[in-house]
Amino acid sequence: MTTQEKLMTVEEFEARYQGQPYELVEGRIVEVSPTVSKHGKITGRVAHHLWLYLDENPIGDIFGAEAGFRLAPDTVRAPDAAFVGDAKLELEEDEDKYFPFPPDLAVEVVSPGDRADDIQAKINLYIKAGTPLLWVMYSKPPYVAVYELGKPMRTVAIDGVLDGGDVLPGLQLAVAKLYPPARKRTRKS
Amino acid sequence: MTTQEKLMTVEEFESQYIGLPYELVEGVVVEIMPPGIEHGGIARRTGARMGDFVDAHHLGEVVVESGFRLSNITMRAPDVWFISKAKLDAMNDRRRFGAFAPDLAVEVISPDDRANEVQAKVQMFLDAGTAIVWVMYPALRQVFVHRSDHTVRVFSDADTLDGGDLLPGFQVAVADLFPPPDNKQE
Repeated sequence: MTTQEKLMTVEEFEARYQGQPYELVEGRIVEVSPTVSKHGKITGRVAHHLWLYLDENPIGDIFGAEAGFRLAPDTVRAPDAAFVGDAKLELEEDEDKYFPFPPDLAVEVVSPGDRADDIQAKINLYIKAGTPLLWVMYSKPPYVAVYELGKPMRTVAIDGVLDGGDVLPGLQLAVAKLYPPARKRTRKS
Repeated sequence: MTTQEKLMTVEEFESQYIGLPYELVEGVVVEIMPPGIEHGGIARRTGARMGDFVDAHHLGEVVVESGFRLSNITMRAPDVWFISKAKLDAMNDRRRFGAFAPDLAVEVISPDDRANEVQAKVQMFLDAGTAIVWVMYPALRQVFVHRSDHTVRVFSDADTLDGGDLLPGFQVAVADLFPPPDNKQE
């Protein structure tokens, strides 16, 4: 295609689409659809365990999939779960707007229909925005890809442990606790 | 579906499907679609550059779309793969699928590839003993290099890839593997 579509800024997007099921990705509006059951089970478990940690270590806040974060002047994304530390929360000026920064921890759960290209492009946006810690959770088989700012990316299997790093100091989270137990019924082919 | 179908072994698959566009994934025959032009061009460039180096240094064999045996019930065919001379020499019949996992496997991402499946495939290779997996994203012009120690490094257009200890001295610019900018679709 050679026609140039008009790209939207975060300000324009915020004025027109706030509260609606869309994200803004490099100037383009992207619809966000309700997730499948397994996705929701994983997201719920992640939020729960992050809250357990925060109950003991009140250093910030956890957000569900609806909170929008400005990753660039043309990009707003809503990770499936996010943590923002108190220091960053204090920078926020207007609670009725998107967060003007990337979260300190973003968690993205990969759905069966998610294209590899799109997931990788999404990861690139978080990294480019300087997100300190990103967990990308694959579900078949369960694997978490960990992107920690300034460190090599690595994958952690179901028998491994996620480390909170500098973002959530002392957090040790067994990956197995974040995925629903395997179903007992006959495996579908 | 709860009916239990009969799972196929690699031997059964090989006798019936060798040369045909299928893979065997955990006992189930899966059709492989011929890839698009962009995909084929990237696989060709990668295979050519890696293959020329491996041939010149007698390190083994670089193949395209050949099958190898991952387990008794899984045969996969990465877009490009390298197998060392030692493993090659241990194979009795090279007309057949590879008996061992490749040392280095390359997968080029197609637009319809699902993220979960790509990740599963990479893990399958690493679990079977592949030391390095390159996952190439044409849309992003990036190569993700997965290693058996579970680290991953991202290489972009301006970077140079190497083959580590497997291919000592081999270097190729990422930009030389993706279509030249003047081929790029607007």
